[in-house]
Amino acid sequence: MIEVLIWFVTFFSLFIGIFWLQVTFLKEPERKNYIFPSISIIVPCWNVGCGVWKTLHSIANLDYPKDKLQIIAVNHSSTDNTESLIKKFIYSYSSLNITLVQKARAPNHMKAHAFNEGLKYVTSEYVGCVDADTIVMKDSLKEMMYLFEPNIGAVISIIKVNQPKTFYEKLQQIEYVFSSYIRLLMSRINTLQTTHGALSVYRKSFFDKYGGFDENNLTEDFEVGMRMRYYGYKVILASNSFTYTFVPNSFKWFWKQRVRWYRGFIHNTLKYKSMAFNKNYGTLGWFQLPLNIFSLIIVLIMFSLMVYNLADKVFVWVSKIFSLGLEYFNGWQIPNIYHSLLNLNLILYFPIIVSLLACLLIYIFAYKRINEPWKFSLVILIYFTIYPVFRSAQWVHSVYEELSKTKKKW
Amino acid sequence: MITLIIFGAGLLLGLYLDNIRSNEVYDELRNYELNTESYLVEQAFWDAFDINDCSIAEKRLNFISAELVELGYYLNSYETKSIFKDKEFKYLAQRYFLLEIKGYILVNQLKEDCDLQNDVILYFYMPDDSTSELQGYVLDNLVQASNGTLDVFSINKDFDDPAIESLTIYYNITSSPTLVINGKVKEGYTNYLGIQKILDETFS
Repeated sequence: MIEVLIWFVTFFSLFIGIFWLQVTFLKEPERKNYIFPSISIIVPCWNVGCGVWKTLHSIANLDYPKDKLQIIAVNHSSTDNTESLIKKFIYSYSSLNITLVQKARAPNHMKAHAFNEGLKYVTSEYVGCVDADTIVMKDSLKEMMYLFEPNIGAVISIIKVNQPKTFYEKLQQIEYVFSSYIRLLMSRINTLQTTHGALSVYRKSFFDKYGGFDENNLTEDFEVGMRMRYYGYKVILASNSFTYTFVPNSFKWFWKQRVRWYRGFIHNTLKYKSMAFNKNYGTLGWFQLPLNIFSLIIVLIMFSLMVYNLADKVFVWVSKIFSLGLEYFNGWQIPNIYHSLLNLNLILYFPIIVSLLACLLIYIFAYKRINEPWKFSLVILIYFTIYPVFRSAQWVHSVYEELSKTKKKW
Repeated sequence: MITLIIFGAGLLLGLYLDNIRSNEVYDELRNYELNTESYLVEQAFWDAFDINDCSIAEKRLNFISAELVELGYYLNSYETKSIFKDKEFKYLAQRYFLLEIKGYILVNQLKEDCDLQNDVILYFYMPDDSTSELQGYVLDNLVQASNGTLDVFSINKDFDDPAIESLTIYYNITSSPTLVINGKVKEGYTNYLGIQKILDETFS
């Protein structure tokens, strides 16, 4: 039974790896002329301190006509120097159209609440959302706006990690390169169904018709992307728009953030489950959403198999030591290489090796396309070997919390 | 389609490797059978001329039984990986077990003829059983520590063969792992020190 499961997982992983590899060779859409419609950018702020200055400063320096740009900073009852910094910014950039919105915040009010408040002050056809820990690149906005065709509901940017220094930041840097690239590929085949807080631009009319961010949702940006797809709008990624964000630099916050994201993913997938296996939603319905569901099931299966296998090996190892005592260490021999090679289960290992090679190729393409400098380090080795185990554990944790309806924490 | 092709390639490579494995085991078994035949012919020769050289016979048998142990591991391991050669590996396993039984008989005969102090263990195991695996590991360590004074012969208790069935009936083997240590039956798992104690008792 276990072998059948391993076969199934291997087949599935290989299929997905080869599929995405094929998508990498699809031609990118041609760049059109830049357009500069009016846009309002909302920056929800809660106790972000100096980060808000850098964010607002980067928005102010966008290569975009200043008379077409409105900045709405929503101070969500910050208790640090966030408010004073925003006021200082408004004073320093008095020529810009900047609005400071003061909004009281209850304990369960999060970014979505601040964003929705900011929506009331939007005067443009398009509205962007930039987290207060994000730095937008000069060209990021103009590389997005020309992509807005009538059926496009949102355009998102490519996120990179800002100046990674710690081990966890460097690990996430690799992860962001991969995830941004996969989003790019998803955008090419029209299966992208998420937005994010680094820099996403939305069509204001969508919020007018279907409501703002879901304030009870752990991942409101993912939910709005799904909602857009549900109502027939596309979400695409601007392949030349780059933003930088700060990421958790400790294990605790890193784990907490991921479990929140994965919970949000599960919750929103269930919320919009009618889209899955539904050919009315095109490739998203008959391919991407079922793939998302199967991928989660496979992660859970693999984690269970791994835990079982590890427990079994530990049990056998401990039993051997108890049985043999010190003789255990005398009995160890160097294995015969010839017979070890003959002993390989090639029927299983061959597709696994090809899967890993496909993954490696995608990784190389990702680094090239996202314009991220590559340097071999121990972190890369850990990312491909040990980190998948932690990710699986995070998924298991999030499934548990979602199923047991644990109180939502942002 | 590409995925299916890759899986197909994996199957073909697996089949190719299966062929190599079964040929490897077949060649090794043939060697041991020839060595055993050669030993028996040699013994017949010494008997014909009324010459009794126990030290040479002991060395020959020790060599054959030690190499058989290694072959047993590879055979067991290759058999679990095989998809297309189940019947062939079963046949090879049968030849292997018959060689083990023959080795067991020859060693016991030599012990009696030459009054040797060597220890002999006949080990009945069950495949894919963690307790049997652990018992096998303990026996390996004992053989290594014994410096040629201990011979272990392993038999799959449930293997379909009349000779194996006769042995299980003779020794009244009902479960596995079971050890027959110098003729004494010990059911269930026995640890390193436990086996050593029994060997010391039977020696004394």
